[in-house]
Amino acid sequence: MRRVLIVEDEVLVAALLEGMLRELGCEVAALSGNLSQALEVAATANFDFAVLDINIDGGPSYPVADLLIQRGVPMMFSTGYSTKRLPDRHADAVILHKPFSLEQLQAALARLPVPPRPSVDPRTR
Amino acid sequence: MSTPDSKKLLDTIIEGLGQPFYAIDKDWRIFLYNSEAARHFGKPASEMIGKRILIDVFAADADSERGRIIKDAMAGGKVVKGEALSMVGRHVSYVMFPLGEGLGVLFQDITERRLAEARLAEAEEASRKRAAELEAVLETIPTAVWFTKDPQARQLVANRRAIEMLHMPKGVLPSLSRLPPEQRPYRFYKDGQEVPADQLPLQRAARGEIVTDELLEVRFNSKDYRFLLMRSAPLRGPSGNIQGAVCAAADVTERHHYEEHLKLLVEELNHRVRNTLAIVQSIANQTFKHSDPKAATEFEKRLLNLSGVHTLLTEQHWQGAGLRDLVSAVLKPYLAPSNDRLGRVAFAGENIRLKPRSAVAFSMAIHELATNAAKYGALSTAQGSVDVRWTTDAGRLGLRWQESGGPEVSPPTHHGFGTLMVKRGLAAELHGDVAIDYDRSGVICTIDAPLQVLGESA
Repeated sequence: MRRVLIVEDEVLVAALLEGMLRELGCEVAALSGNLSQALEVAATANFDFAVLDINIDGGPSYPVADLLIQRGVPMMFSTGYSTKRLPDRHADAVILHKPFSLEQLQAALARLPVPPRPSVDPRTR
Repeated sequence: MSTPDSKKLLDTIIEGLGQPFYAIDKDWRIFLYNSEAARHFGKPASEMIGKRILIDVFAADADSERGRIIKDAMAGGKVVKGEALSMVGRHVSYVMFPLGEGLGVLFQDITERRLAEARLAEAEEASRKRAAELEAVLETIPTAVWFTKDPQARQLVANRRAIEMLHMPKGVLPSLSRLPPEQRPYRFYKDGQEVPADQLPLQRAARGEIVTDELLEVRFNSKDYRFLLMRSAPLRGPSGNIQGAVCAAADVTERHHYEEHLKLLVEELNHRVRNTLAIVQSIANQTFKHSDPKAATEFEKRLLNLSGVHTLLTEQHWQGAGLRDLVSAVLKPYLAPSNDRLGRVAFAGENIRLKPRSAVAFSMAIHELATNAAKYGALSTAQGSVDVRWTTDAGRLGLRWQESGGPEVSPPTHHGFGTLMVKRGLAAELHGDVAIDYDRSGVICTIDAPLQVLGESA
């Protein structure tokens, strides 16, 4: 079961996302609604991927995204912006546009890079 | 070698002068008078020789300026040179010299030369006036202007506004293309990308291009910046050859900021609308999901459809949306090739522009028709298909939704939200007629509406 970090400051939207992710067979590892807490969780918690709302309490969630990229954890942005330009370093990020259907969330999940599995040297097997 | 007699020699000389000449004796009698003089005065020698000047002929001039000049010359006994009006009113330059006890008068008609000089002076004055006017205009207008008088645009001359705007100390701007990059006091950018010096409007105009309304950003080394709306055109010589170029730039920084601010506001507003739609989606989900999952799904689909048309309109800055783009977006779930359980959906028609309200009404109606088809109609079976096509004729839109190959149709026992949206909502919004025919072989919905109402701005 894939474990997910949700960063979303709107409780109802977080609940919707949580429900849909469960339906898609994911387990919510952590949920955060403000930037400083999200940064802390992103640095320490154990999860396979993250869904980050761009506008959260405390400012844009880009620093969280930077941290996740550094850790090699796949992530997507969710946003109500339709034409906003992301910073260049996140220009290729997967984006989930609000409001979204289960199918759209599923399609966005499918676009996430699969996290690298711990490499196993065939000779030592 | 023979010597001609002195009379003949004298005649030859005075004719050979090629300009009017006459001579008078001490009694004012004309005794020499050449043919150029005859031509000038319009009187042949026969009428003049032996006559006393200022007495028998040109008597009226005795007390005039020119009469006085001749009298003074006669009295003075030395060579006199000058310019005056001749007896026949022509401008002449003259030389008068003592000849025996009389006076020789040699002169030349300079009227044409004087006229040419006057015309030249007039033209120079007009040109000077125009230059002064142009200079006054250039110094007064709130538009920056700079120009070059060489086709390579090496030397630039700028007006006061350009100097102010570009923060330059003197009336001469540096030509960026002539400066090494590290010495340039400012650089030009277009859409965030630096424009190479040889691609700037003036340089392009100097190569023959006419540049109209190009928005460029000028950035100074001081981090200051300005947005300039620029125009440029070549300056051509009489034969059409390029002799230079002129460039005008209006500072539109404030306007640009205002537009950017407005864009940001609209962006924020859209962002809030979408967040609110997501919240409504969640509320409905929390409220109905367990008690009535079917209704919850149906509601969610309607909400997401509304959000879809919102996206289309936002992309077009709320100016409208194309009908084909809209139909394509609404029917997208039924067009997915992987979804072979659902029937085939085809649509065709011109991508006519709908105003936002019409677009929303259309989007909701098509969504209801598709949902209905998926629940009970042609899209509820693998064999069924839907054909949507529309034409624009004589100022009217004619759209036809036709289902076929599905289960046998019977008219609905009650009219729900879908029928409301299609028959009432759409018809009222479009000022048109909407009919649903529950034909046994498949539902047919026809829409007929005036194009003018669909497209006119809100």
